[in-house]
Order: sequence, then C-alpha cells, then structure tokens
Amino acid sequence: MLTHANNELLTRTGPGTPMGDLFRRYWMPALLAEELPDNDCPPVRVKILSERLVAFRDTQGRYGLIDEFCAHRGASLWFGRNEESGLRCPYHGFKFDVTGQCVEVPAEPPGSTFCERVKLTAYPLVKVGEILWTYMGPPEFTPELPEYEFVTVPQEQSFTSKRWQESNWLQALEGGIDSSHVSFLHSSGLRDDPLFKGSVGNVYNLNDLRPHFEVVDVEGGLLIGARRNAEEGNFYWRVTPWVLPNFTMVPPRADHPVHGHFWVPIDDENCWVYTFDYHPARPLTEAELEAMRAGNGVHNEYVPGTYRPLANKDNDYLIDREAQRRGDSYSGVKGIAIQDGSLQESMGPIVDRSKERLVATDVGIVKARHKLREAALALKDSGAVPPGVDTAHQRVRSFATVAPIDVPLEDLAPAATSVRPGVAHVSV
Amino acid sequence: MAVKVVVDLDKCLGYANCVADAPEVFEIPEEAMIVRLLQESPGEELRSAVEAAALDCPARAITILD
Repeated sequence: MLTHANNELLTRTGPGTPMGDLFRRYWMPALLAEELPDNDCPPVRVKILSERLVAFRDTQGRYGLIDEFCAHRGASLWFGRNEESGLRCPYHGFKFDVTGQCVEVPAEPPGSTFCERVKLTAYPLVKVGEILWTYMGPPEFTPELPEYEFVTVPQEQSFTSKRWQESNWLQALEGGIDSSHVSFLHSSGLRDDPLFKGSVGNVYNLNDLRPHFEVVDVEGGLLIGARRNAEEGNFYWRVTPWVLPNFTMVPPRADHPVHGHFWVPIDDENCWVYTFDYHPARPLTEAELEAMRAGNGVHNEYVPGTYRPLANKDNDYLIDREAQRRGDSYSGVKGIAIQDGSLQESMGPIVDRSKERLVATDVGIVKARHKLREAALALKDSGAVPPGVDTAHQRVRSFATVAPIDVPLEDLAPAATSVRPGVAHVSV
Repeated sequence: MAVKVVVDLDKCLGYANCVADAPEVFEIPEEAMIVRLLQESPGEELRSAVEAAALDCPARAITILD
C-alpha cells in the first residue's frame, strides 16, 4: 500500500518532480536504432518523461534529440525537412542542428546574427547496441554510457523490440519484479511458447504455486529470488535483478535466450516497454529470431506500421473466452507480453495503491518502492548519486538454478549474477 | 481488559493490511512508508481486528502480547 502522497511521488516523472529528476540521472532508451535507419531519414516524434521532442539523423550520420517545437512560433519540427545537416521547419525555414542550435533563419537580412542566439533544448542521443539512448539531466552529471549486457554482446546475439503500454511506468515495472504471477497468467506460455518451453524449471514453476520470496539488497537495486520446491532436498530458484530505476531481467529457461525489459515513462499515463532477448554465449538462431519477430516469448505482434500492440485496449486485447475456458490460455489473452500489458492497463492509467491488499510474494515490489523513494529523496535533499548510475551496477544477470535447500540465496547470487563475457547464463 | 500490541518497525515494510483490518489501531501517515501505532492498548472490542491485522501482516511485524 502506498499513501496518495507517495503514490504521486513514485509515479510522476515530468520535469521538476523528484522521480523525474531521478530518471534524468540515467541514460534512458529513447528509440530503437531501426527508427532512424539512414542519414536524412524522416524525423521521429519522441515523448519521454513528459517532454515532447523530435529525433533525427543528419546528413553526417549524427543523431539529434531536440525540442519538438520550432523556436520561432511553435510549429512541430516533426514536419521538418531533414536536409544538409539540419532539421528545417517547413513553416518559415528556421533550421536547427543536432545540438538544437538554430543555424539559419532565411528571412533575416544578409549578415544577421539572430540565429546564433536561438537554441532549442537538446539532449545527447547515442547508439549503444540497437538502442538510441538519451541523457536528459544536468550535463555535468552525465554518466558513463550504459553497459547492460544485452547491448554489449555482439549484435547477432541480441534482439530488442518495443511496445507502447497505456499505463504509468511503475505498474509496468512492478509486473517485471513480481514473478509469482508467472505460474498463473503465463502458465500456457510455459508449456507452448517456443522461447519458453522445454525447461525442467517450467515443471517446478507449474507445480509449486506458492513460491517463497527472498530479496537481497545490492548496490544497484535488488535481487528478487522466487524459491519453489524441486526434487527432494532441493529448491528451484528464479532470481530477477532490478537495477534502478527501471531495468529488470527475467530469469532464464534452459538454453533459451534470456530476456528483460526497460520500462520507460512516456508521460505519467503511458510508457514504452523495451523488450530484449540475448544469449551471452552464442548468436541467436534464425528460428529464435523468427519467433521473436512473430511476437512470441516476451515480444508481441503490432498494429502494422506502429509500435502499438495488435491486441490492445480498443479491441479488448482480442480476448478468447473459449481458450480461457478450455485452459489453453489462463487469461484468454494471447502472448506473454500482452497478458501482462492487458492487466496492467486494466488497473487504470495510474493505479491507486492506497487500496491494495498485498501479500508476502509482493515483497520485491514493496522493497523496490522503498528504494526508489529513498533514491529520489536522497538526490533531492543531498544530491546523492543514485543506485544504478554506476555501470558496475548494470553488469548483472538473472539466473535460474536448482540448489540444495541449505544453500542461501546470498551464497548463490554473486557467481550466478555476474557477467562473464562469452560464458552462458546460469539456467535450468 | 485491553489488548497489548507491539509493532516491530524494523520488520514493517508498509504492506498496510493492518490499516485495512484495524484502522483504529494502525495508520500509515501520508508522508511515510511504514506503519504508526495509534494506540498500544486498544480495547477488547478491537481484539479480533488486531488479531486479523497480525495474521495478515506479510512481514510478521505485529505481536499481540495478551
């Protein structure tokens, strides 16, 4: 449960809010690299942390992320002409470079220096992996570039998609932290999905519906361990790392690629869910890539030409009541991503956490809320560098293992969560 | 006869089931993330509500001493 004041504190990420200031201390995914495929390609509208921006790739291949609206009289630069190393407003020809600097005002007389004093808000936009990342905070606190493993492995080992979710970022993140729903909501996926099935862990998952949760505090966030019964004398552990503020990894299954998410606020009532799959030790197979592109695993199908899921709230997520009745699908909604998204959106744009009745398996969520609040207030009150900014905190893996019942999570975690380049993740 | 209630604030994580079960005894102040005990010795008429609060606390932070 959260009081109204704390719910507001944790869910609002616009400029000047405590949580907005916290987010602005990290590199955040702003676009997929595929959205700006070529020099001088069409610009893309980007809304992130409630700021309306436009991204473009100029004639020299430089990426820019600038205020969406022309400094002249506020027309959207999404209509702009991306040409000759700048984005030109089609209204009166004002032209801006990737730093937001106005470089030309055609109607000004020869010799005018007016444009030198016109500059739009601009943020750095950098390609790491297949993601274009931005940093929207004070320039003097710009961190090192992200080092999450999914963007540091060779490109053929990683795949990333994104989808629009019509809810606040926090209820989406909380779904990534809470793995107890998997045995219910995603039970059909554990049996059928080509990117999930075949793991012995799935059997433990489906047989033990009352996992015991243990949470380990680490410098960058939390390790959330779900413990289920395995064979006599052993536990099956699934361990989810959460790195502040909005990165989670799903524990792996067998030799399938391991996946995870970034939950990026668009505004307070929408977020982008960046969804990645990678294998630390081998290229993804064509069959795996085909399954991901088709919307299997944690990915999804799209309304053509958009990043909106094909199954969305306007069509009741294409719920199949017959499949639900037959038991083919626990919720009747197809696909793991949309099973999650449909329920998280159903809570409303910003869920009222003052009415919750939480249980012991929510311990990861509860502790994450404490940690987010502490980080936001420590930044506000004393300028403390938030957890997760240090790239060492980002080099972490999820894992799944079977271990004797007398081995505590604290003993399992250090080796199993460490990133070892070229070495496969710990998985059963 | 009163009920003696003790809350271990080191264990409390603010799940707040106690607030739902016994709002006369427990509250989460607006700016806080953990519980505040409104009365340490509530009357006998609140015993069942307080017992429910103790049972429903996932953190096992509530003890009833008599």
